[in-house]
Amino acid sequence: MKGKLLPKSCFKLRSCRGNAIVLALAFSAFLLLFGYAAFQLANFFGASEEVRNSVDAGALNVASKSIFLKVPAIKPYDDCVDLVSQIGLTNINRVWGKALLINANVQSMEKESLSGATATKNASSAMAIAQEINDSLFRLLTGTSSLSSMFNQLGSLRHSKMLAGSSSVSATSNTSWPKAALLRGRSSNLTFDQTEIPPDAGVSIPQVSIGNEEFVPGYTPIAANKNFFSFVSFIPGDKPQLVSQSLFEVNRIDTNPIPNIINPIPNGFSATGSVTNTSSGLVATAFGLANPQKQYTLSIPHSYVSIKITNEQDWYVEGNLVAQGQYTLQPLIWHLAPYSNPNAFANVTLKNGAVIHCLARVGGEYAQPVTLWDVLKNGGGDLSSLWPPMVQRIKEIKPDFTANELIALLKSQRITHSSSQYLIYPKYSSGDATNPTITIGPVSSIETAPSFQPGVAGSGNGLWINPPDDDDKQAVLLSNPMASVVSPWIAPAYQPDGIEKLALTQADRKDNPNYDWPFYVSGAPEGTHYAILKSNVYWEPDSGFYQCLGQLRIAHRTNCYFAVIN
Amino acid sequence: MQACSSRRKGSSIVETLASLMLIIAIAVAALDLIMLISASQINEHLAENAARAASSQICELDSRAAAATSLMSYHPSSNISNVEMIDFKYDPGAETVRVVTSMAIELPVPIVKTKFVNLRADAVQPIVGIPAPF
Repeated sequence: MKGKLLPKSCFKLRSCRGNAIVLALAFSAFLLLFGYAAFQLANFFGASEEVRNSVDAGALNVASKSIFLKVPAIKPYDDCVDLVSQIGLTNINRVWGKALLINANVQSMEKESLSGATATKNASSAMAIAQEINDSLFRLLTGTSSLSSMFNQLGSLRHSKMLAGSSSVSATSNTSWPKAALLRGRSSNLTFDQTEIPPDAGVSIPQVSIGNEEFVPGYTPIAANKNFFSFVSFIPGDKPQLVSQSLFEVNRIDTNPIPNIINPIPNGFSATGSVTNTSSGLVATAFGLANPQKQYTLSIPHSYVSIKITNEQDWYVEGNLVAQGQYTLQPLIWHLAPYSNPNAFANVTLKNGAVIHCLARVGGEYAQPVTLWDVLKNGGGDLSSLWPPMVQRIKEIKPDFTANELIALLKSQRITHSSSQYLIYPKYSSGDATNPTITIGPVSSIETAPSFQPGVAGSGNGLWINPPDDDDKQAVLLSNPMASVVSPWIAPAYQPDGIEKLALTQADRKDNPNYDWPFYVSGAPEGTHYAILKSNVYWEPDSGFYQCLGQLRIAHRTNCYFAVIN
Repeated sequence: MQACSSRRKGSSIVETLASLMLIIAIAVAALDLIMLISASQINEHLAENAARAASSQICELDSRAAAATSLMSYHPSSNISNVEMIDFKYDPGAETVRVVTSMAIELPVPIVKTKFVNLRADAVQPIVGIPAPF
């Protein structure tokens, strides 16, 4: 075999050829692989962020929409409801506020020994019913189904484009999402004035000042009447927002409950979502803080203070009580008549043998025009002692109410013959009973003709000499127009749970404005005659459980004396 | 011997150039890809932030303005020529607000005569600015 041998160097050269290409290809392959891995990693992080953003939006939706989970109201909290007569996160603090005021009232009444037999029971009922509403709402807010649907409502609108396919984020349903009581000690959505709490109740509400307003603190148990009351924190001006996991975790109601509070209503919601239709299994959790952005005042919205006038008349002959009765709010002449015949005069025989008929003109203190203020003022005495307890109670309806406003109301209210009871009550222009205007009006209930009780001597009965005219009768027969026209919620026929105490004794008024005279049928006149109008004012505090927060009773008693021998 | 050496040199140069071209092509593609991914994430952020800003307003007018303000607060870099809100939907019924943003990217190295790429991102957020109804 002939051949030309190539030099060794050429062999070396041939073997070196393509080395750079191989290296470059290998490096390129590495770069491509590295690039692909980096791309996948970037894609994964991007998808992860998409899921986190979606879960954030879902959690925010849960926190924002949680205010729409509501439960029906139970009496007496039907005045704390929204326009659809329900209780939710927005107005649950109103319920607890009313319960707190009722219990503070009862605690005050007990300290003053003015607590009636049913007061303690009413306070307990107020607490129990508020707790029942609270528990219903708590179950609704801590259940997963409603919150999941809120989460999915938004999750379905968002897609994770960076994962395979177009995957939506949906709520995980295998575990219950934790809840939290966030912003403990910060403000609730309930403003208040310390003066609306009965001063002797000993109920201390810490104030959270924001601007010119004082707020009841959130998630801070407040003791009243041996019960504890807690309010949900909602900072005014804030909106529903996301919160950090660390803040949420330390305020979870299952691991860090509110002391002395059963089932505290949460304001913090967590939500866990995952991406469906992918094997990546991306899961994220977010935490939202609810805020209804609506404030109320600590109050008992449907309540009133009552002013009642009672008029009694005693008939004395020769120092003996012979008859008792009541008279109406207009000047009328009365006389004694036998039971058997109301149209006849009852004869009263004196010790000297004389026979007299007893007559009296009473109700002169209500001669028109006269207002409630006049009735009080004409009796004399220091009226200023009457205002503080009344004003305090009206502040439970409208915290900025003043004594001057009360006096103005009393001056504006004319006495009507047909009504012996007047209510100071709120009028609301909004359906959710907020921003009240305090007003006053008569309760025109059916008033029958006065019936006299048999006197000690058992000798007579009362009778109209000049009976009311037809118009008056008609007015008397109107049944409680306030209850059906002015404010449908008012129930003037309440069950008092307080005991009245004497608040003011006014000066006696002799023969003016009421007076009497005898008509001698036979025999010689004996002694003198005169009439004395005595006036006492009583104050009865009530709890507000049955709407009535208290009653001022102006008690007039006219004693008619005949044949008085000194 | 000399011819062999010069052939060897030439071959190496060709190989090196070919390798460099390949690596440069990959690097350029990677650069464009990084630019795209990075810009895409910025766009997603912008859409999300704009939607969040819009969601905390009480009416559509304020909401749209808040979204626009949020977008304007971003100062584009040299490669991002334009960012704009191309769609906005304020739905008080569903209580959601949707913001769609578009971002025009100038690729560092044009690929097949494509110098500009438009990225689109949309975000939906619940409206949280409306107080609770009575």
